[in-house]
Amino acid sequence: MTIKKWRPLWSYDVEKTECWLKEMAAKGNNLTDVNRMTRMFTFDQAAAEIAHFQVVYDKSQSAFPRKLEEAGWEGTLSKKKWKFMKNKSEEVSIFPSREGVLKRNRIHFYVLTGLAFFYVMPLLMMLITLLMVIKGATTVEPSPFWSVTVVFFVQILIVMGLAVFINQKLRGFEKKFFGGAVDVKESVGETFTKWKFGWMYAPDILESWLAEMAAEGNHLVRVGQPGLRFVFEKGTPKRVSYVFDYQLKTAPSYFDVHKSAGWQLKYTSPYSFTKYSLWAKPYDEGADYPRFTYDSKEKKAQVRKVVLSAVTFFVYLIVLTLFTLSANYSMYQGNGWTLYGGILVGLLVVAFVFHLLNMARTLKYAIRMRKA
Amino acid sequence: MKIEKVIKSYSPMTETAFYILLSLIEPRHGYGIIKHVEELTEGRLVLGSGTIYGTLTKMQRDEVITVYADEKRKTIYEITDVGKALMRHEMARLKELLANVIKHEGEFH
Repeated sequence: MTIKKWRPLWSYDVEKTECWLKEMAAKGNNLTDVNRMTRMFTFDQAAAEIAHFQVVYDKSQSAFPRKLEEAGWEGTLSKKKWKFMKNKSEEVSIFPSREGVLKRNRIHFYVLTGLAFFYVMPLLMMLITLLMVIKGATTVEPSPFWSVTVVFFVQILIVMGLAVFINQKLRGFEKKFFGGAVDVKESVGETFTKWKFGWMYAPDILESWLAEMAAEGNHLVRVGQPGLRFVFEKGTPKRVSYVFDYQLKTAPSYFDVHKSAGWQLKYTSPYSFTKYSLWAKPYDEGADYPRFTYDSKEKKAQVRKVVLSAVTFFVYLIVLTLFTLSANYSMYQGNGWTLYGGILVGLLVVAFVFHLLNMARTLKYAIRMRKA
Repeated sequence: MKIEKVIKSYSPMTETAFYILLSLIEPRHGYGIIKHVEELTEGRLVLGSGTIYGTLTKMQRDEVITVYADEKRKTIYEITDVGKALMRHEMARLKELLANVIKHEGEFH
């Protein structure tokens, strides 16, 4: 006898799916097929079995770790890049990596978020039209294709909902399996707050400021989102090295590698692309000053990465602001100035100066690093 | 990645890459690699976590190494057959180098 079960979102919460597979196996259901398109799981009746399950997403076919095979992990079902692994041992101490699943789901998240942004305008237009219809401001000409409108509308809502859902699952997954959680220190003593703006463009200044603060006994407890509010706790002076790290793209092992080497994660920006993180590591007097790298080539490459990213970003913003500014200016110059126009152009000028200053900050950082 | 391609892109290996792979004669986590390389070189080569992150990520992409997780969800790195073939190739190259060092070192005194 075969049983079919539909689990549409199984791949976004693999841990839950694994528990479910374990329960199914314990009830004597043997997994025989998973349809990736219809999201349908097929089971055959078999002897009840106690086993650990793990869902693996792996692009490479060859590089399955030997140690895992020795520990009793075997494949039960393989569907394209998906592998359903099983281990019948009582005590399981090592597990297949979840990196592949994380990478795959990250891509789904980015694609859906991109689509969701693309849909913001059509959605707003539809909502405004709907509102006007409800208010009776317009008359409605019946369309022979109402179903198309409805399907499109529903599709937009599904894409947006799914993007939010995957984002939530991803955050939890990253924190649980990849050490992506910020190391929060419970503050016992008196705390105080300092604000810092634009520090991402002068990381060396921030690093030495934080190290000086620690040497004076002011220890960073946490950094509030979006990374501008620094909360300190008063304590005894300590030697702490701070590292600001910028990555264009972060591999799943990013947090684990640094944490295993004794670094504490103090702050990290929410997404795996263009990630800013702040790390701290206490050290003893006389010991080497801990850094992420001691290799001069790697240090230079890191500075280049920070500078190039920031400069690209600011050049884009400056061009955009200048374009909007000149368009607005010539329009108001031709048609006469209004209060609204004045405020708008004023704000654009402020934004322009702000971007210019941040760009200068970045370039100054580049020059300092060149001399160092 | 094919073995020939891997050898072409990795050999001659940097000192860091060589010692990282050498320390993977048994599977280790990130910090285990740092400590082992430090022991192997008697404290001369201290690798930062950023250095090994970069190298390990690249090696994993090229299937020179593979990963799994321990019960504390820490990543453990293991050398693959491709990685072993790469090391054999590199060691043969270094043997030739060393043979020439021994043969000619006297001439530089």
